[in-house]
Order: sequence, then structure tokens, then C-alpha cells
Amino acid sequence: MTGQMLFALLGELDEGLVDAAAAEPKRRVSGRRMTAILSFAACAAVVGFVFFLPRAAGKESVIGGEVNNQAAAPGESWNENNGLECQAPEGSAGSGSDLSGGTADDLWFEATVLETGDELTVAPAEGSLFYGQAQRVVLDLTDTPPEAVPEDLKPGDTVRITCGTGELLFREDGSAALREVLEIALTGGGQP
Amino acid sequence: MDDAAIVDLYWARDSRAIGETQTKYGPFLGAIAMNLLNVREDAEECVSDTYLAAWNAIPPERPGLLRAFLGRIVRNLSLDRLRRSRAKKRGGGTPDAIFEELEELLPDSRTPEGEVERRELLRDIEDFLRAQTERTRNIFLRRYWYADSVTAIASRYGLRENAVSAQLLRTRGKLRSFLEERGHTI
Repeated sequence: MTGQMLFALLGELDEGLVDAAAAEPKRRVSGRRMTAILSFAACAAVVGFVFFLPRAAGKESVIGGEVNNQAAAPGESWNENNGLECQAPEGSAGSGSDLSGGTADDLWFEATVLETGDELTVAPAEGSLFYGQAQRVVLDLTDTPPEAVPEDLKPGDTVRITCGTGELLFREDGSAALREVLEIALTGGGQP
Repeated sequence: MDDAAIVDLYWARDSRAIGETQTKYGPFLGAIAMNLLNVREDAEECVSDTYLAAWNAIPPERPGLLRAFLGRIVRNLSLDRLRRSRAKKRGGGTPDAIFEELEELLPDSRTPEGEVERRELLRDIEDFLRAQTERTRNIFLRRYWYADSVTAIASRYGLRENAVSAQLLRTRGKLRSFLEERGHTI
């Protein structure tokens, strides 16, 4: 069966499914309104953290982030469908990019490789996005082009991870799982 | 005019049915046709043919979801025209990227034989889609039913294009695994 034949076959899908996709998508509630709603409902305490790192001469700082909505509970997923937002502070790398609702153009953070294998586990660098939210971030590289991942990464290597909107799932063990990793750049080698 | 009233016009053989359909769904149908054909004249002809096909189909049909009913007609007509234009080696842009993406779902080149097998495949694809989140499902359908570009989907859902591409890739992978588990070697 060719792709065109399969495309034709999909034309016979249930009309209810098809029609639902024709409807205008629900618009997200704006960040500020969501904050007001959650505060009013007292669903969760609002935890904000701001990271600022001074720019070293000749070197870009890591991106900072401010989770300005609510604390992420275990099992909670940060993605474009919920109210968790991250905003890069003025002047930081990627500033001007609106991370709210997961629509950032350049979301990246620095980290140290902890474990390699089918999944890559990293520890966010001090002051970087997600630092303080998760001590370990497990990267799902299923959809990451192989050429975007350095070969032979090993524990102790420092990397800069560029990621998209994806999903950041906070786990009960204090780790987080990050999907949609766009690129990993090696920034330094660890101890042999 | 609501869909039930438009369908009643068809049943009454009232020619206003065509005008009402055009008013309400003309742009919608035109968008689908353009996604596939990318040639305005061809797309407009397919949309016009859709009105005629609807007139001939209703009655005896009484579609519950008129939008989807019409969308299917224009989709099929556009696909037929696309095949003809490719045979004649003319025509504008084609959704080759979409067809190539769908071929990733096909572990081998066997085609489902018989109506029963086709229906089973469709049912399983529907089961898979219903198990996805609403957004994942709709993004999949916008791409592989409505033939939207990744750019259009990104704009529609307020996402980055890379995010849409990544999500489609994930969904195709999951669908492929799902179909293999269900015993389909399509």
C-alpha cells in the first residue's frame, strides 16, 4: 500500500472524529488569568523561582526561567495544554522568547550528563531552567535526529540541551522526563 | 442556516441548498482542495463538483455531520484529480510530503485485500486515534485528513513548527506499533 493509498483510505475515517478536527481549537487561557484562577481556587501554592546568571566575558549565560504559575506536583505534566509557564528573564539567553504555554523558540539549558543509554539523564546546571524543579532530567531521544546528539556522551560531560515545547513530566522520585529534545551540544568533557 | 435546515432543502429538491452550502462551507471545502491540488482553478472545479455530488447524494443520504460529509466528497474528488494530473505530469504542488510520511507506517508493501480487511484497518486506526489526546488526534487529522501544512497546523494550535513535526513523528510511530500489535502488515 502506498502512502497515497493510505491517505485515500483515511478519508473513510469516522466522520465524528474528522468533524471534531474541523472545529476551531480551544484557545488557552492566558497565563495571568490562569494564575488568578488558580490563586482564587487555591488549588496549589504558587512557587516562583528566578534564575539570573551574569554573562561571563565571551560566553552566553544559561537561560533562566521563572515558573510563575504553580508548583509542579509529581505526575504533573508541563506542556502547552496546562497552565504551567516558563518565562525567560530579560537579558538572558533566549530572552524575548515567550515560553508561556510552551511556545518558546529557543529554550535551552545547560546540564551535566549523569547516565547514558536508551535515555539520557542529566542534572540541570545550577541556575539553569528546571534547576530546583528536578535534580535529574531524563531526556526522551526517540524523536531527536541522531545527528543532533553527540556521539559517545559519557557521565560527567557538560552539554547544552535545546528543547521545544514538548512535555516536562515531573515524577514522584524528584526527576523529570523531557520530551522533544531538538539538539544536544557538548560543551565540556568530564573526568575520564 | 443550520445543517439540518440545509439538508432539508436538499431533500425538498430546493436549489437554495447549493447556495446555502456554498455560503457556509465554500471556504472550508476550498481549503481542503487547495491543500491537495495547490492550483486554484482545479480546486474551484472540485468544490463545484462537490456541490453537484452532494445534490445527487442527498437524498437518499441524510448526513448527520454535513461538514464532514462534504469534506469527504471534496477530498476524494481532489485526490482523483491529483492522480489524473500526476498521470499527465502537470499540476502544481502535491502533498508528496504527506504521502511519504504515511509510508513510514507501512512495514511492507502489501495492500489490504478485501473490504473486510480494509474495514478492520480503519477500525483499528480509529481505535488508536480515540485513545490519543484531543490535540494529538486533531493534529494528526489536520495533517493526514485535511492535508494541512505543518506551518498551518502550527499556526492553528499556537505551536512551533518543530513541535508539530515532532508530535506527528511520535504519533506515526505509535500508530505503526499499534497496528503491528493488531496484526496489520500494511
